[in-house]
Amino acid sequence: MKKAMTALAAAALVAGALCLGCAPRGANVPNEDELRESHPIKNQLHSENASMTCASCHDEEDPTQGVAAVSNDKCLACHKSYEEVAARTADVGEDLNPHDSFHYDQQLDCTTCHKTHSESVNLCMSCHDADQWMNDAP
Amino acid sequence: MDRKQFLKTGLVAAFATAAMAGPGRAFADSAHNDDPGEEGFDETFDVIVVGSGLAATVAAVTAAEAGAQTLVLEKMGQFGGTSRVSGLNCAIAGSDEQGAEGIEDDPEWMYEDMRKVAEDYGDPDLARVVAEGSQSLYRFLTERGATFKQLKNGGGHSAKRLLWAGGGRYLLDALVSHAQSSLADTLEMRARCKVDDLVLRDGRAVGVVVRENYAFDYNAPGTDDLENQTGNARRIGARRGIVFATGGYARDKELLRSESAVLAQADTMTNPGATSGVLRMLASHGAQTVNLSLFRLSYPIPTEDVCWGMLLNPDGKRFVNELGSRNDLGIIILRQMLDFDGKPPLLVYDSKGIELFHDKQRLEMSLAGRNFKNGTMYRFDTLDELADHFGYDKQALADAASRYNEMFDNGTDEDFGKDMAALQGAAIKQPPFYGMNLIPNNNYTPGGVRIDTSARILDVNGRPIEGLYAAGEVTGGVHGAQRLTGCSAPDCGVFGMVAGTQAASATPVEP
Repeated sequence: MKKAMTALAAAALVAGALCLGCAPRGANVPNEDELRESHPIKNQLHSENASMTCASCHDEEDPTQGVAAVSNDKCLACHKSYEEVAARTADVGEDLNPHDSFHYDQQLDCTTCHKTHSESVNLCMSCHDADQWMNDAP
Repeated sequence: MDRKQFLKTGLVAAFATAAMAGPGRAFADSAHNDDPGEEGFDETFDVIVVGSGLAATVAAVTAAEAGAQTLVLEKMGQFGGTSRVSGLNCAIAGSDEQGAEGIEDDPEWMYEDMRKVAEDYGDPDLARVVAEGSQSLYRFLTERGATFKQLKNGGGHSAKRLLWAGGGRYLLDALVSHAQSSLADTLEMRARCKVDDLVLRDGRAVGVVVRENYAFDYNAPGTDDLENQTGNARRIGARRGIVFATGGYARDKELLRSESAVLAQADTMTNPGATSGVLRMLASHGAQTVNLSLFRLSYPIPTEDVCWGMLLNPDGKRFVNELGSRNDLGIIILRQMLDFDGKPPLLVYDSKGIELFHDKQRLEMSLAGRNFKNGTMYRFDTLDELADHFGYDKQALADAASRYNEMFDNGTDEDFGKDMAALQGAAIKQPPFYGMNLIPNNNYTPGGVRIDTSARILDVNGRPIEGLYAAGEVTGGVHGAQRLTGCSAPDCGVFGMVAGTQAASATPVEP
């Protein structure tokens, strides 16, 4: 289980909470510095990585006009491949591996569980005693 | 193109078109759109299917095969709804599997089984459509690649007719694979696209107002419909029809509580997106809702396998006849839980009772710890060990077992009137012993929008709202008071076929 925790922590993924989507548009749109200020990175492995900037995940020309959900491809640009991510959590168990699960194989969006700007969620826990076999999503 | 690629293409297309349309409004107005307005639509399809579970997927494939340009809209990040995470036993009268085992069956028997437990609620004509269409659904699924692993018995079914594909995902996978290879030009699926409202013209639904890039709030499913403001607004027209197959509302505790207070105590294992947003939106446009006060409680194990055991409250006392119907039993348990600060009762079996389980597959899941939340069953050599594990007083548990066994031997349950003769020898005598907590789940909501036998959504005057169809759990009145096990899948599938056919063949309008 300890191993799984390390693997999960290592597999921390960039999340794409919709920065501007969280606030209705038409409200005061801040400039980019204020945006950065108001959307701190909660994932430690990302926030402590100096090379991680807004643009690492959000490539919109003008992020003050809103950003889209971060795609799996964007996450996997650093985290190599879905298979690679799944391999790192394989110890959780066959079918139980959140990155290669019985219900969803490798079809889940990274951002379904991993939120960079808000609390991450564990989708498995919606219906299972998943805490018995894995830890919190980073 | 593999499945992932296929789905991704849809998503990329969604983002691309969203980008072309410009930023738009951050979220749709809650005010009704009674006319298409000056801006018209960003794009137009023949048929729009809302949702992506079994009913939606069957409807979409049916419509696309009929030649309709079809768009599937799913608000969640992943397709499949509750169907994808459900076991999805599927009652079929007239399968090849039945034939191979020499089992005789008749749609009329299935209809009678469904109505027997309906307690006169619901619309018998709708139940008849399901029973009579189940064999067509079987052909539809198997001709498109679905295979079934098991033919099972089910409580309340007069014939062995439940087919199991290994889990709901396998039915969906077969249909999506089929769509990839045969319908790539006519069927498109988009995730993270929430339908907020209808666009009506002259009383006919001609489109939907959606938000793309929707980010469902998993931390607050119950309030997502009202509070979540993510996504970009977009208007999509429908020339022929809109099918709502958006599932039930078991995650909406407020709506449940407003219908029956005790229901909010139950747990639910449905898709987190099983909320009531679409139901309320349709009602706001005049759709009639029916049977919202009905409920269907279930358990991690089949209801008909609860009876082999002895159910004890946290004080170690029996409180109910375990041989009850799912809802009667469930309500008594939920009330008992209220009395014990939410602490669930303990269900104890001996090895004879375990042998009698109808559904060995679910039993295996429970023993392996993979059966839902709180669905894990534990095995012990002695009752003392079982008491220890669940924090029960050993003497209290031993006393309860000894009284239960004594009444079992005498053939009369003096305390709760359980039919001891029906237990086929299962008491609490033969080790090893098995224990699990038993918390009722509210995994299915029988109420919903009213439809006719052509899957048309009816208004409060009983007239169809033009352009609108519904199928599956979002509808009400198909099953009545107690839906039989394995009868949601044929409901979803059969009405999905009906809705897809009806929408695709409707006279088109240019929105």
